[in-house]
Amino acid sequence: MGITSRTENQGRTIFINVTERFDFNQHAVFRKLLNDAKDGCEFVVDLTAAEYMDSSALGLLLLLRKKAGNNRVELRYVKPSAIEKVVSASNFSRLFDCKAVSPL
Amino acid sequence: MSDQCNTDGSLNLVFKPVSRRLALVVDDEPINCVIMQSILEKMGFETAIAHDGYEAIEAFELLAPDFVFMDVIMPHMDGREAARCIKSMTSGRFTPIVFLTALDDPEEVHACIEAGGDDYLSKPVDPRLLRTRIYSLERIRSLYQKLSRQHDELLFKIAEEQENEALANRVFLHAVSAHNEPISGLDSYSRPASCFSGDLVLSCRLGQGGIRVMLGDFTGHGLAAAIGALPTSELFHAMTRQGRSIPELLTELNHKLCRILPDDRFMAAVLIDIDPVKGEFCYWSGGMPPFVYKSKDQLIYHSSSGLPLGILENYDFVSEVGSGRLTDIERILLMSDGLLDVRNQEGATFSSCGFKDLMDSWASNDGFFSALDERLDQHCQNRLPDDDVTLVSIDLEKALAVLNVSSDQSADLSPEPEGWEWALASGGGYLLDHSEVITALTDTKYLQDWPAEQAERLQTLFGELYNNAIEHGLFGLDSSLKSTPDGFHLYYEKRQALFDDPPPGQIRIQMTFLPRQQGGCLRLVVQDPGKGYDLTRLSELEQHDDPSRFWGRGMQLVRSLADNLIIHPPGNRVEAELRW
Repeated sequence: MGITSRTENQGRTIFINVTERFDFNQHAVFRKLLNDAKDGCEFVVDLTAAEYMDSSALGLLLLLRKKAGNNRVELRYVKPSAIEKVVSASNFSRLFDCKAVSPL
Repeated sequence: MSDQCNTDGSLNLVFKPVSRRLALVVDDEPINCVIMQSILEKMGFETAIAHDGYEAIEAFELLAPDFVFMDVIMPHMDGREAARCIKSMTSGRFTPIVFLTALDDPEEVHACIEAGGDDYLSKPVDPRLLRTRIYSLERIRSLYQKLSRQHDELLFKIAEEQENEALANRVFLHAVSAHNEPISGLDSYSRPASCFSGDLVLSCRLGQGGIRVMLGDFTGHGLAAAIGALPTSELFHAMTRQGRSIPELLTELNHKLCRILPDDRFMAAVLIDIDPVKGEFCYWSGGMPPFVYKSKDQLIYHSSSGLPLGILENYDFVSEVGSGRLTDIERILLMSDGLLDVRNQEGATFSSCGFKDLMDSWASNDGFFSALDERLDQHCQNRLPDDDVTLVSIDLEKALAVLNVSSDQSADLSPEPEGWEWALASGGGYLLDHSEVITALTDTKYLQDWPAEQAERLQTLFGELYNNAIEHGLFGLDSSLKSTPDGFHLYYEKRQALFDDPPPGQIRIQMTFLPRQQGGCLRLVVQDPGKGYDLTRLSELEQHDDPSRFWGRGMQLVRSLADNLIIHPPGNRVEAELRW
């Protein structure tokens, strides 16, 4: 439930897995994650199991992007899905490395 | 006071005299009172005594004790009744009532607890058991106090939040909304998720007679959203008044929002310019749902292609601005994503449950906003939406019925660099008087270098053609009515009534001026929505030159004033030329 994360590559790649609703309630977890992350690490955010995402979640993704600097922030989500709609409506695919996967 | 029960080490720490002030002992047997007093005082309590329920209530009111030890069976008022009263007096704080019962009867214990007792002890009271009960109840009380304190803090926070929202609302109303010019035909609908909505509607007339409308959607609500709304509104109005283009405005807005908003905040927005002179609209949209326009009987959805504002510092807006022709477009609808995402109790979004029907009602322009309100009520069932719902509907005919002045050196119509073209559409519920049109034209200073007699000639000529267009083309009045003095009066009464509440339709006026080395040439075109003149009848009339007749003089005057006059069949478009 919520957010889980793991690191690889001596902490340089952080995998974040978001399930169910992705919104402002995840702020605290995200902040901790960002504080713990090294500058210039890369992120892979797996939203394939998320069901809902709002604009404050987009804001959290922007924080990740800033932390990553010029490094990769990859978003994974199911296409078509509610998440994919939000990502494409906001045109965030231009900011993130987006990997749309087909539903199982 | 000293704690004398420190033989039991585990309870020693909790028995601090500071939290133990006054115990009320209620018993009709004086000997029992004395025993309890002695035990409690050893534990650090001060004590007070009451002998029946009435005295207990009185003492409770007067002394506000921290504990009550209550006998059950007493004269006048028994312990259970007294406990009920005391509990009803102590909302907001926790004062434990411990019943002291002679019987260990489960029924009686049940009745005591039901009456509001927090615990019970059998008589004779065992001091060790009493101590344990007090310890346990004090623990509950401290938990209760903590909860109650947190509850108060929460209430305070909520009040503070409400105050913040009210402040945001005030800021929004005075500093943001107040700057919006009223534009007829522009209606907006808003159902905020909180007091200040993160949604923002800005509108302004463009220098050249068109309009600019923006719908923004900030992440967040309340003050956090209002922070960005203020500079956004200021920039929007200032730059629009300066005649700055969409990309110029967006670049500034984006720059400003990047600097002032926290990294995780931004503003999705759709911005649209409507330019009736060029007959086109320009738009940019970032992170918003599609905007919709109605063209003929089709609804056309324009998806958003840009990123929201306040994210990327260097952003090329020029390449993202789109445009389209206004021909055949009746109405344009902008919306924030709140509408599509409103959920009902089952969690289904509005976009999946009623959006299409709603758009059909918008297309037929049939009480759209009240229909929207009803549908949302039905959908939400009194719940507030998660996000703000905002829509802006622009009725182009109404919105553009007011002056559309162009100083463009429009390439196809006035190739001379010094020339000008001036166009206007009047009508659609907002009909202008001919003097208002002339005033507007003279205000532009276009005529300031003209010889006075030429300016007067234009005014007269224009007045005739424009009034003809209104009276015959738009109102359908019959001039022959003016053949008697009473009829003349009736004609103008009718005209006045129709002027105040004009029928639909527009009168289009276009003036193109080409300066010559000396003097110049002005072409005036007036077009009305009517069926046209009966051209043969008109020429017949002009043969019979009776200066005393009440009607039919207008066209004659026009002919005499104009250097060239063309009436385009069927007669609803007249072109006149002035040269000097």
